Amino acid sequence: MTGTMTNTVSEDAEEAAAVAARVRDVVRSTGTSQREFADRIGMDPTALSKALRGTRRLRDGEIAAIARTAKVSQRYLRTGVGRGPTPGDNGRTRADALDPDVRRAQILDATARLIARKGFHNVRVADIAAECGTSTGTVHYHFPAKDEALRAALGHYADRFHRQLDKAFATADSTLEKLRRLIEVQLPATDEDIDEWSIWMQAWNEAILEPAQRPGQRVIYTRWRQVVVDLIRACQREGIGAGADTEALADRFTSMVDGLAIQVLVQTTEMSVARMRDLLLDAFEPHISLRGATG
Amino acid sequence: MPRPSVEAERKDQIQRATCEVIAATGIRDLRMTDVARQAGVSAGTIHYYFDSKQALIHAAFEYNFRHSMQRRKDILATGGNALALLERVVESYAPADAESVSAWRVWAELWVHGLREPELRELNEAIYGEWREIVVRLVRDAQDQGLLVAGDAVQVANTIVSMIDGLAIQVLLGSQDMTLARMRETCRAYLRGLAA
Repeated sequence: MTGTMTNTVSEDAEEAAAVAARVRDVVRSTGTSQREFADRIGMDPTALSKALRGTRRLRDGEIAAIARTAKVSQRYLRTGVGRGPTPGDNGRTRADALDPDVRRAQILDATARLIARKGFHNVRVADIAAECGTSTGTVHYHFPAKDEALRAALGHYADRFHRQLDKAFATADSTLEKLRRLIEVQLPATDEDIDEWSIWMQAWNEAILEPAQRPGQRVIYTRWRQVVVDLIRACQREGIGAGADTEALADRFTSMVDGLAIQVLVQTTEMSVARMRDLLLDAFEPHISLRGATG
Repeated sequence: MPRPSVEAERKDQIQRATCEVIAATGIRDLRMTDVARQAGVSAGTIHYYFDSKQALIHAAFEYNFRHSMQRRKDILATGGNALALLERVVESYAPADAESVSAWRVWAELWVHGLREPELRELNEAIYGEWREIVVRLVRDAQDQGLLVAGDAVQVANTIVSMIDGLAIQVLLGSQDMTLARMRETCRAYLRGLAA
């Protein structure tokens, strides 16, 4: 029989997948995003994302750091036996008597994730209810129409984006550093970032086909573009890129971000997160240079 | 069996109609009967040429790309000043008329459905590669002719292609911030900055 070797390999793969699934649940139970969690354990977010998807094996030191930070035992992460996450931490085990605001946030979170992964038109209210461990009636109560769910998902991710941005800007010591961090926050590096971009792309198409949805899109785009314009102006006040056309630079940058993210999301070989970062670091050239160690 | 020339013509007609339906309603609502009506043929005729809806959609995306290349063939055949050619090719991607708007809507559908369908991602990969290669060649020619500053032509091409895609989406969405005129100016400003 050729079975022995094959079995070992596939059992190995199954075990690795089970570890990845447990780590995923544990990360979720902490109530932080993948990116924040990666920060806390001092791990590269892309590497963590790959590990959670099962395409990269976790190292011993990483498992130890995850266990320490999430307050579970390493044995639990490796075998499923031992101290796991506290039940109820992620809000999913207490199906009833949830505070309406908490329930709404939970439905929104699940809806956004499901739309991102399955596609807006493939998500049924029953899927959302199942994901939240509640009834379709409860979902309908919070989001009477699916369009509203998509709009809410958009708002959800727009808020997430600006929250991340505020956090990244808070510790930046220069305007140039803020521009660099703006690039980082926009890269589709983690699973959550990829979900976010998937929602943007779907929302564009819905709005292209359905003009009634365009105003909502415009608000989001204008708010984002304004962040870029403000940063370029701040640079110019500091004498960097002073003569350059602010609007043209902002339009170049924002359009590149969208165009590059599309190719990363559809997994074009030519375009990776690293390549996207590289191209965006040069987006303001020759007026504003983001290369070099200090700002 | 129809004659080969009739076959090719009929296939084109069906693919063009499919693109028109995708541009109007998106893939999710695409029905074979709508395509048949748009193409002015019977549903049976469509099934004769395309085994499945999937095959039809795939062929329509390829057609959209070939057709867009066909529209630029005359520009590319002109030869001469490569920077002027590049500017004209870039310019030709502005969603300025119904045909171009329709082509862009089909691209946008390819990307979104490519998120979940590996076959469409492969198709995008081939199309994106071929299109980017054309831009790389024009950039290299313009550099060789001393019209653009020397540099990484692939980087310039990636910048141009991503910029056009991102700009076109905002134009299609009717953003106040992004009009056709601004799209053109943004592209021109970038190329001006690279002029030797």
